[in-house]
Amino acid sequence: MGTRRAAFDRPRTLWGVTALVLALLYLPLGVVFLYSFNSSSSLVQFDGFSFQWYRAVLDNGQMLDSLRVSVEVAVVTTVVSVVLGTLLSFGVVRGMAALGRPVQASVLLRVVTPETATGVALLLMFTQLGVTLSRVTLVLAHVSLCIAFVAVVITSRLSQLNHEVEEAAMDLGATRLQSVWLVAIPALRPAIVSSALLSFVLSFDNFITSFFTSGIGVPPLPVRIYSMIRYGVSPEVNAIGACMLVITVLVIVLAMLVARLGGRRRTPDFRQEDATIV
Amino acid sequence: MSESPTVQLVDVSKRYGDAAAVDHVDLDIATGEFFSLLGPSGCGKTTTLRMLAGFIVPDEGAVLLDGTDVTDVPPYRRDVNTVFQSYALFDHLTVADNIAFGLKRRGVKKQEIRRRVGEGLELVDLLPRAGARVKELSGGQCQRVALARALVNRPKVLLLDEPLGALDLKLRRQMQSELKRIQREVGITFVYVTHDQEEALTMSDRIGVMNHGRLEQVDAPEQLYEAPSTAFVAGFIGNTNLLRGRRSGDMVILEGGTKVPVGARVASDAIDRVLVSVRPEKVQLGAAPEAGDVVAFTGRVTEAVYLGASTRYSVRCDDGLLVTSDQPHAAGAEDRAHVVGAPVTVGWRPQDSVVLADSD
Repeated sequence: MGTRRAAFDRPRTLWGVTALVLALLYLPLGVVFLYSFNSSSSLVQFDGFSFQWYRAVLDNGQMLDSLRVSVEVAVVTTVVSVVLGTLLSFGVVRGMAALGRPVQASVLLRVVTPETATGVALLLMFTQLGVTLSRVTLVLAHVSLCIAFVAVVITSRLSQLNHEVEEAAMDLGATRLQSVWLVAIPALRPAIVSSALLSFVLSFDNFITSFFTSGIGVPPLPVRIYSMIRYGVSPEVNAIGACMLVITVLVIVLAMLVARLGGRRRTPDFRQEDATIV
Repeated sequence: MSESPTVQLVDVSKRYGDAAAVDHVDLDIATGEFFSLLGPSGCGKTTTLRMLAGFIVPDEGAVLLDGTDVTDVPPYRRDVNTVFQSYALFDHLTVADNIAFGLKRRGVKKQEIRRRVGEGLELVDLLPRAGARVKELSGGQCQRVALARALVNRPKVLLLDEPLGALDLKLRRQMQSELKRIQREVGITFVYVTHDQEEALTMSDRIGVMNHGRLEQVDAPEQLYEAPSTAFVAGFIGNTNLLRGRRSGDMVILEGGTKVPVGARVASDAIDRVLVSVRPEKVQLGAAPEAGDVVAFTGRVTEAVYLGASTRYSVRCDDGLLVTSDQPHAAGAEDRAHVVGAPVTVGWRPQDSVVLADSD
């Protein structure tokens, strides 16, 4: 009886579905990781363990240049997007009354716009304005992409945040600006960290927008990989893919640690003798 | 006393669109007073409180603190502090840091902050929870932190916006007496907003009853209950019988045609449309008319509701009037119960009634 109940409560078939989904999610990554350590240049047969493709990547100056460009662009994009996106959220949630909704909707719309369309649009706009494509246009394009994601994440958190908390800060002597800095921003920190993460990852591995807006200089990593595999796939790509994956995961872990550690601060114990002097 | 009141509202109004949230309110609150603003939701009591805090600037009139006009002074430069309805504690700080917030903003010295936070914690009995996070606290504890956080700044006035609204009944009763104790201890002027008349009656030195943005009456609890000046006040504070009628000299001719004498309390010199207000516990109920100066009617019991300490009878009088009477279950009164349908006599002493204007 008991076992039948258990089988009914936890149907085994769900295990199968879960396994299938996990396989869909992680099998490609597993293959890339495995073949990045392949000793031969075959992409279909594992012939033994070797670091040769990682060595090849490290010796490939162009590849490292692109990696540096990608990281730099992602960092600048993240900082600019988070600052502007947070300000936008405050404007929409706290600053605007009736206009807030439509503005919020138009920001949300930007999240679901097809990237190919916005990529082409950015390229045309830069060309028409006579702006030479460069690292700056690349960052601008990435910011235009990321800022909407940041605003969506922070706006939703901020609109849940009780406005009385900021009023309480002002009631206790904080100016309007101090109430935001000392009370609202700390309360928003998880949302700010996760939107920063999102920006970094979106920018770091962005291909479509980068493809249209990066110009003739050193291309960012995804664009470099794309141009590489157009002339035949080298096993080096496996090693690069594995590296990008590791960098992304490291950034996420780091951000989570920052989010958790930053919140803890020790306050001294209060004992009776502190209080008795009236 | 010749010193100016701690709080003064001088002909203060605040409009939102066409609606007046606060409509020409004049009010003085004395130093050390426990003052309550009482009224139904939307009556303007919270708007009035927020004008004292500085979150709302009135369209007309002036707000004075200790005789100084602070109408346009922002909240962070006013010597008042607020206990918010939602507590509005800072989740990212510990209990002690929450309480220290205002002192830090004011640049109080570290040693002094530590001492006063300790005092504050002790006042609300939370010393052992100094290092706790807000999320680890119960509702009642949050309430105490909010109170201590405001009080450590030693404001001229403490504003409380329905601070007990989120607590369950038992805890609310307990916090009521504790608030009263704390107010006596610190001696700070309290302005307390509530829609709960019982809460206002038990705690306040004086109560201002608000309705539709206006102050209907400002008085001590006993005065408000015994001598209401408007029908709204009579009906909002406690229960009352409001009997429609017309004034004729020293008598009021009630709707059914019965004449009742006017008592000592006449709050309106209206003639055509007046209300006679009598509290249910002042309405006597008996098998036979009582002697003396009692206004008496005969009728039948239509309903009897058991209320524990008393029974509430509804009596339909012979002239059509419906009168409610509360009969206490005092010792020896067990045999005085009346059943539904029984013929009874109801009556009251004229001095227990109040004549009010019938405004609707």
